[in-house]
This record gives sequence, C-alpha cells and structure tokens, in this order.
Amino acid sequence: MTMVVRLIALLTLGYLVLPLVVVIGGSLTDTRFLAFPPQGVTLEWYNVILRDPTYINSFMISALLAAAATLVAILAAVPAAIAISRYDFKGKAMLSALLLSPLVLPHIVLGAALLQYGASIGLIQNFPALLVGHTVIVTPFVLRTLLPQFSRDQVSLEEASRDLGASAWSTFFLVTLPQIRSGLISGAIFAFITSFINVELSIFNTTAELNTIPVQLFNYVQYSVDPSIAAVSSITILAAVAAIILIDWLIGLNFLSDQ
Amino acid sequence: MPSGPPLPTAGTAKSPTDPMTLLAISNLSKTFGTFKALDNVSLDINQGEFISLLGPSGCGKTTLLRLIGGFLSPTSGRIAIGGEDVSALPPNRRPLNTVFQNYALFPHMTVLENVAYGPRRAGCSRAEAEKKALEALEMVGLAAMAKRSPKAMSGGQQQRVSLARAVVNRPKLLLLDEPLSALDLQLRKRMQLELKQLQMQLGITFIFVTHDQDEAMAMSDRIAVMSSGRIEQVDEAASIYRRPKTRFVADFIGEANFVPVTGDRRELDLSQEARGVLRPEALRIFTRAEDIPEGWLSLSGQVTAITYVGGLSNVYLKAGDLELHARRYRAPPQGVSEGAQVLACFDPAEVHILGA
Amino acid sequence: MSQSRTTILWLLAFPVCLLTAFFVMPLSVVLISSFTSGEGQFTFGQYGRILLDSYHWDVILVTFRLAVLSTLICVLLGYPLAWYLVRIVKWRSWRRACVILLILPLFTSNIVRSFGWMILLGRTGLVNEFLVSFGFVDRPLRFLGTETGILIGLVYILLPFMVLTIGNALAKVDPALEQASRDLGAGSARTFFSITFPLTAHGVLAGGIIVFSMAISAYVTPALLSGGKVTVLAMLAFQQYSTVFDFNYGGALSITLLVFTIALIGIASWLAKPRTPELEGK
Repeated sequence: MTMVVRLIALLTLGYLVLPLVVVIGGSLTDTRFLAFPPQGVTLEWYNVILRDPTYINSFMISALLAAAATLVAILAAVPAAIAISRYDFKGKAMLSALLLSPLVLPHIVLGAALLQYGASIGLIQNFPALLVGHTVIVTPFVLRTLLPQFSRDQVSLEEASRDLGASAWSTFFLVTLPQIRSGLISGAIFAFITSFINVELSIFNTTAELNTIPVQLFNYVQYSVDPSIAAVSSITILAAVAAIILIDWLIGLNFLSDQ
Repeated sequence: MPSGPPLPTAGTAKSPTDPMTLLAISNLSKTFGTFKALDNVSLDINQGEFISLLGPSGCGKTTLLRLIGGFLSPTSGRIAIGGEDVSALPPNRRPLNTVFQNYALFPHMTVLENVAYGPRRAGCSRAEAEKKALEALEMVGLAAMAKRSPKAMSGGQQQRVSLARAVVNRPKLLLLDEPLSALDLQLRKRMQLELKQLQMQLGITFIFVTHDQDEAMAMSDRIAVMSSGRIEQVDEAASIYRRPKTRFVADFIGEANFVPVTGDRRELDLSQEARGVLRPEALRIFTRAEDIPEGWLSLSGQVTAITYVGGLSNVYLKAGDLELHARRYRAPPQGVSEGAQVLACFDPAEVHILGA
Repeated sequence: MSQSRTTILWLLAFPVCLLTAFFVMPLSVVLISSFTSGEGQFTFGQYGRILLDSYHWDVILVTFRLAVLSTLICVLLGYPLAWYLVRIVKWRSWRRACVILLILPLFTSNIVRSFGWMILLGRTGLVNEFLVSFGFVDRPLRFLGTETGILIGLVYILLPFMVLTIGNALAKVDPALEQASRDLGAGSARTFFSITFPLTAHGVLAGGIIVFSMAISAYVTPALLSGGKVTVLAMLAFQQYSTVFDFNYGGALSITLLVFTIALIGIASWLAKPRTPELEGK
C-alpha cells in the first residue's frame, strides 16, 4: 500500500513540476516555433526579449508596481498588526477578517469593482489605479506573516521596554522592529511576488504604454505561441525559485512535518 | 509555621508610629467587560518595605501589580506615588521598574545591553550606561556574563539579569511578578535569600506577587492576602498566621482547623458555627481522658488517616461533622492507628476567633 | 496602557482608510449597480438575467461542473501526496525540497502555468506524443479548447492548496491513536478508514471547499485553455467590463461570485475547526 501511495505521490509531484520544466526547456529551443523537448539549445530567445523595449518597459512597471504596493502594504499592515495583537477593541474580529479577506475573495471581482469605482473618480488606466488594487490584495500577505510574530512574549518585551523608560516610538524601533524582522521581510517577499505575478487585477487598468509582464504575456499568448514567451516565463520561474529559497531561509518552510 | 528559618526583616523600625507612605492606592477597581478583577482596593505601601501580594490565581494580585506598573488603566480609583497622582502616566514615566514573570529579556541584545537599556533611555552616554550596568551585574554576581546573549543562559541566570536590569535605574519602587515561579525548589530558596538581601542593601521598596505562601512568609515585612479582587488582610506574617481575620485567610495561610468554641473560649458549642481557628500543631491526640491537661477542651473522633513525612506526623480525624488535623514533629502517638477512637484536645488560649 | 484609545485610533487610521476607500467602497458600488437597471432604477432584473438566460445557464453549469471535478481530482491526488509528505518521508531535507516544489507553482503567474499546459496539451505536445507512442490512442487527442484541458490546468493551480490543507490536518493526528487501533486488532486499511481518515475529514472538507470556491471564480486558466470554445462565469463577468460595457449586469455576476465565495469560505472555516465526536448518551 505504501508503494502505491508513494507512486501516486511521486507522479503527482512530477505533474506539479512538469509545466515549469517544459516552459524552461521550450525557451532554449533553436527553432522559431515552440518545441519541447527543445530542438537544439540556445540562449538566443533570452537575448531577443532582453532587448525588446516593450518587455523591458513592462518589467520596469511590474517591478515598480510590486515594490510600491509592498511598501504601502507594510505601512498599512504593521500598525494594523500592532493594534490587533496588542489591544482589544470593538470590531476587532471584523477588521481582521476584512483586512485578510482579499486572500480568499476572487480578484477578478475586486478588479471589476475598482474599475467601476475608479472610473467615476478618474482613477483608471494609470499607475495609481494599478497601485491601489495591488496594495489591497498584497496587504493581507504582510499582515498574515506579521501577526504570529506578536506573541505574548513579544508584548512582554515591549512592556519591559516601556517600563525601563523608553517612549512608544523608541520601543518600536529598538525592540519591536528587530523582533518582527523575519516576519516582515518574508511577508514583503510574498507581497512582492503576488503583485508581480498578478493578472486578474492588472488587466483592468493596463494600456499599451502601461503594461505589466503577466498581462503582456497574457495578451501575446492568445495570438501566437513562440519561444520568446517561454523565455520571459522562465525568467519569472527562476525568480520564483529564488524567492522561495529566500523565504525558506528566513522563516523556514517546515510545513507538514508531524514533529 | 512555614519551613526554614525566617529571614531578617527590615521592619518599619525607623518610625513605627508613622512609616512614610510611598505608594497610596485608593479605591482602585478594574473591570474587564463584566468581570470585576479588582474591587475597590485600598492599600498604603511604606518606604523601604518588602510587601507581598499573596493569593490564589484569579485573585487580582497580578492585575493590581500591572495597574501600579502602568500597563493597565484603572476603571476607577487612584494611584499615587510619593504624593503625586500617577494614575494617568504611562509606564515609562513612573518612578518604578518591573521584573517580569518570563523575564522579558531582549533576545537581540547582549546581557550588558539589556541592563544598560534603562540608563540609556534616561539619557546616559553609552560608556556611563555600561558602567552602571556592570555595577548592577556585579550585585547579582553575573558581571562575567556581560557579553553573553540571554538566550544562552539558564533560568536562574536570566532571572538575575532581569533583576539587575530593573535595579540599575535605582527606582523608588520595584514590582516583581512571580519572578521565582519558573525556578526549581533549591534555586528558589537561594534566590529568596538573595532577593531579600538585595532589597535590604538597596533600600528599594519591593512589591512582590506570589501564590506561594511559604515564599511570602519567608521574605516579606508585610503580606497582603487577596481573594476575588479584594484584599482580605494586610499584616506582618506572624500576625496573619496567628490572627487571621477571615476564614479565607485562615485556610489559605498554613492549615487550619475550625473549632466551634464559644465567644469566651470556655467551652465547645457544637450547635454553633465553628469560628475558632486552631493550627494543626496546637491540636494534640490523646487516647485516655486522664492524660488531658487541665483546662484543655477536647473532641472525640475517629482517625481517618495518618501520614509521616519529613519528620512530621499528621493525624487526620473526623469528630462528628468536623474534619480535624493534628500535626507534630514526632512519630504519631502510641496506640493511634487508622480507625481508632481518640480524643483531640487543645488549649483554648491557642484558639483565635475569627472576626474578633 | 493609559492612552490606549488614542493609540489604537492612530494605529488603525491608515489601514482602515485604505480598506474603506479601495475595498469596501468599490464593492459597495458594484453591489449597488448590480441592483440597477440600464435606466438607472432599482431592479432585481440583473440577477434575473443570470437565471433566465439559457446561454448563461450553460455557462454556470460548465463552471460548476469544472469546479466539482477539479475539487474531486484534487482530493484524490492531494491526499496521497499529503500522506507521503507527512507520514512516509523521513528525511527533513527531502520533505523541505518537496514542499518547495509544491509551493513553487504558487509563486509563478497563472499565465505562465497555463502557458506550460498549452505547450503540453497541444496536438504535438508531450502528452499526445506520450499517448500515441505508447499506443493508448491512434491519433492525437484535442485537449485545448475542451473542458478536459481546462480541468487539467485548473487542478494544477489548485492542488497545492489542497495538499497543504490536508497535510496540516494529517500532521495533527496523534500517531498514538493509530497505534492503539492496531493494538486492538485492526489492520492498516481498517485503521485508516475508521481512525485516520475521519480525523482528517474536516481538513479534507475545508480544503475542498476552499479549492472549490477558487475553481468557481477562476479566470486566467479557463481563458487561456478554452481556445474561445468554453466559457466560465468569471470570463462572462470580465466580458461585461471589457467589451460589452454593461457594468450593471457585470455587477450582478460579480456579486454572485462574491457571495458564493464568502458563503463557501464561511462554511470552510466552520468545518476547519477540529471537533471531537459527541459521545452518544446511553
């Protein structure tokens, strides 16, 4: 029985890895059309996209957008986390639920809502319009990794700092921040990635000049499929690998162990 | 009486008629939702004394401590230190320091940095602060560990660092929230001694929260016994033991027999409510009526259990509805075994009437 | 602390403003427009359109069908993988590597993942090559533009969530319970069905509901793998905003999706609480 389970599990793992391998492999092909297994191996397609101004532009926008959204998310999530974990107030449960809800609500609905609302106040098809939506959906990621850091022990440390004469601000910078650092950084990485790969929000507000990598790929792929798409995609896959390893190093992805 | 020799007390010998009040708590109450954690508590704490807040969990002692420390704000009432009302001041502006139950040492700083934290916040230069910190660490015997990380230290060592960190600021008042509860017995006894000596050496007023009566009795000048958000009695240890004011105090401190003596202590009246407190060591077991000393009162009962532990023998018996307990520093008396009919006797002078 | 009231207000000012302005308000606007007719009057008509138009009924049915199937497949594949990771794998480093592999797809864009399947499921893609060369079929099958293709892509997106949810539930089962079962004479199969599985059932159910709600509202994967031949609810909603410009009807579709998701998530979190079975009174 264990053998059967093992087999299914390993096949499933293979299933999980397969498309990513195929994309990376397809990007290396020497042909003009996408072939997997690749026929011939070349890095020419990477060359092509790295010199394509539309891709470079989209990359800049995606990166800037992700960075800005992450920053604003941190500015919103840190005080919210402090308030929620340290104090009791009416509506606390509802506030937490609302702040965390974009994690489970369909982004396409949120995107539509922001489009309609933004249209009435002129907040459409520009960078701020994109920023606003991205911030709302990435804030829960930061909040989620921050909240567990504010344990009872953490609160004791802050009380001790106040007791010893430090003001609230000093306490925040000298005691709180160093302690929540790993949760903050890993939350920021989750946030950055989530924004970078997002399609469902971005499609509502992108234009020819203001485009993100995922949306550009999304549009391109519906018309023609060639190795350049695979090349761009591969770069994002490698970036994802780097991000995961970083997060694992910071907070340890030791899920699923029964120890 | 509690085990171990009593520790020297600083007492209020300086001016017994008018000790200087450092901390005045007036009509303090604290409610959480519908739960009344502290109910109209008033207490005056004297300069230089070692006072314990003693009671079972949930009695409000920690709440009271946190109110004094400024980590909670009162629902009503007033707290004044040195005559000045501090009820609205945040913790960093009150002239006191706290030793936390879980030590709360900053894990990302060395021991020295931890202890220097207070002086730094008060404006000292780094060099000055570190000098003071080292002095404080000397006092607790940990100067050699100054550069270590708190994470790499034992519980007892962490406890002492936490103490050094609090006293380095020479606060007027030191609050200790069950600081010894995480230590094993031997270490605990040693720390009790050290804490007491430190307090006398520095002259700082200590407010010590504990649920362990032996600890409170051993270390304190006065004890405030608390229950259900109220202070039941505030007094010196011996007075609390000999003359408990309420049934709760009598039961909580040491062990107590409740015997139904009449108001004048001449006789037993079994129809009355038992308001006489008699400590187990004052109850003697006799098998023959002739052996009972003159003037002593006696109750007839049946032995339910006998234990002999650490040189102390305990005889438990049931006399009618009363459950009694006799204790002495010797083997159980001859001829007394489980099920035997015996006479439980006592000198009426040893009885303390509740509420008298 | 003493001035907690003002502190709380200061702390929450920015997050609450952000939330209200760019989450609550927009959703309210959509809610209102979903009850608005083309002429600007209050109506239930937009929701009526969802229920009365047969084409839209088809869309809803397809969406549901895909969601149900993908959830079932996720359970069937996800439970063994979770079991493998929690119970069978003994080396921490291999488990960690597997978890990384499991989470890696979540860090790549939907479009990249679906693109991978577009390559794999094409007429000359690996899947067909495998099927043909091993003799399972005579000619390449069509996957792209069919529900099957979308299903494969959807399961791919959803599987990691299922594995993590089941894995967590599995990790919390006390091994002593299974040992006791064996000790009392049950074989491993009986132990699994009578003891282990019931104890993880809440996790399976909760995971299933979360996965189902994600499947219902999926947009990118169905859009890319449908080849224009299959439409799901999210695609229909998007069309209202991108081409048809009927925000009111789009609103009704969006709110329907939203309400459904919220209801499902609510049920899932209620179910996710581990409960000990009530002892029957005798």
